[in-house]
Amino acid sequence: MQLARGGSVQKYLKVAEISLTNRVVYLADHFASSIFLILILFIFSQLWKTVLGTNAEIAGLDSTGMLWYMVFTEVIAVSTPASHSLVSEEVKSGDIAYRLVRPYSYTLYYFAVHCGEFLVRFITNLTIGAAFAYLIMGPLAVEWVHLGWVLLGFALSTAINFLVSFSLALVAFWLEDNRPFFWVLNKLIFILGGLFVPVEAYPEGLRRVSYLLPLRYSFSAPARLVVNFNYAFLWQMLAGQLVWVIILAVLVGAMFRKGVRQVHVHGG
Amino acid sequence: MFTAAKRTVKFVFQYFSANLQSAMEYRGAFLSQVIFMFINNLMLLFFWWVLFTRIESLNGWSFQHILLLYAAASGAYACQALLFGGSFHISRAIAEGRLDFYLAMPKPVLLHVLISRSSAFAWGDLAFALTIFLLASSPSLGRTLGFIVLIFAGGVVMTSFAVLAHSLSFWLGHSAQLANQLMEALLSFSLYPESIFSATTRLVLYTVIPAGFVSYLPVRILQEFTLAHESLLLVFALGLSILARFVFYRGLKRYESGNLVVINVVD
Repeated sequence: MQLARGGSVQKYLKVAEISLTNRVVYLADHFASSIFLILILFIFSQLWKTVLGTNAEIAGLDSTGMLWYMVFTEVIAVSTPASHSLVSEEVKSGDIAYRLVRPYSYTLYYFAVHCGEFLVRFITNLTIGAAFAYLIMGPLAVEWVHLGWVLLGFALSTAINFLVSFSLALVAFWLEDNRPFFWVLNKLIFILGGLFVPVEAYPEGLRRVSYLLPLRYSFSAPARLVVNFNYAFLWQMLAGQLVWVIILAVLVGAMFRKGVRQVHVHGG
Repeated sequence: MFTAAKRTVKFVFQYFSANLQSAMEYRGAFLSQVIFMFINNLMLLFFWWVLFTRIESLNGWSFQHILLLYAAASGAYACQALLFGGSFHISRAIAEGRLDFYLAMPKPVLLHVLISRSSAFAWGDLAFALTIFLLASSPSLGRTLGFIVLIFAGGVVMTSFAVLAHSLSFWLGHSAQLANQLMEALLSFSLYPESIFSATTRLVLYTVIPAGFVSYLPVRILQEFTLAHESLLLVFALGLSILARFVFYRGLKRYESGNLVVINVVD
């Protein structure tokens, strides 16, 4: 299977490390770009204070819980690198031919790049987002014994986000302009990913739809788990995440195998 | 003076027409951009729809107010992007010495830079603004014309703010990111009701980041027309555009040519 081709895990760890180091160089730039995160958190802190006051709740979260929930969904969203645009460009321009002859799996290479960059962005954005939420709404009570489960949830969420974007990027094998798919994806993240409100707050029908699709497992569920941890929710989330990682990995593998046959190398 | 004004209007119209024809060259791509932008904006309303299934009013703002807010903000943005699309790229032009092309032309530099570009996808924003306005209010020809005046004034406010933000590059060098973040702040605040903000924040939103003049005041005017509010909006838009023009030309004195040997077709 192409997804697993390319030998040891070691080299992908090295690729991830290089990607991480590249991003660390621009650390100041990352902090500067977090201004948008602060802006949106400020607006929503005002909104939730107005809507929920001190006692009311939506989907079991009070105004403090809602803001912290949003810290995590937004941090995932703004930290997810646009590695799919590189893939799209390589497929469209034919540069992918140069990558295919190298001794690594194309998919795993980009997954490693994605993870390295995501880690740096995630840490910087979370530092800023959490500091802001702490100052404006107060602390979030987190039990450290749950940290391992939370990190596992975030790791699987990263894999889902990568696979969703990568599969859409591979559409470039068949369609010249795949940007509209990403526009739609961004809006679906907003709605079915529960970027601003937990999907549990949605009307019944829509909530069920979101439970069946992958975006809820990569945004809403891990964020909600941090804010309101419980084991029943954790098992349900992990099951959904694992199922979607498998489905998407198989899909990406099939798309890549089929798509790569269409690449014509003309030399030069 | 009348002839000069007529010539300027013709100049603006010719650029607008050329930009439109250029976008229409790839009709399929143009239509898909417009449709996707319309859907994109529509999805932004989803959050408010969910929220208003749980609450009746947000400090006096109903779902209908939110619809008008989105109509005003997206209409203003469409005016900026369609008529003055060059306002998004001034920083880069300054930092890379690309203003040479405009300086050599016998036309007003700032106006020429502003109208040199137009974003095709903003037709989707305009279609969205008009559709939401017609759905959320009781439309008549007079009200619709009034709405167009409001979004044009909002567009002038957004464009002037963009010119001010991007003109920082005359003093700071590469500051496109800062300018974009300021623009992002203006647009973001324009899409949330002023009733959720404290008095101090509102003061900022009617001065430093003038979201109040892009969407809050237009919503008030649409709800209850008063000559005072309408005049305030128009005077503010005019005043801010004069200030933006002053700052841009002040900065232009510091501009250094890039001596670039390039063929300038659009930029």
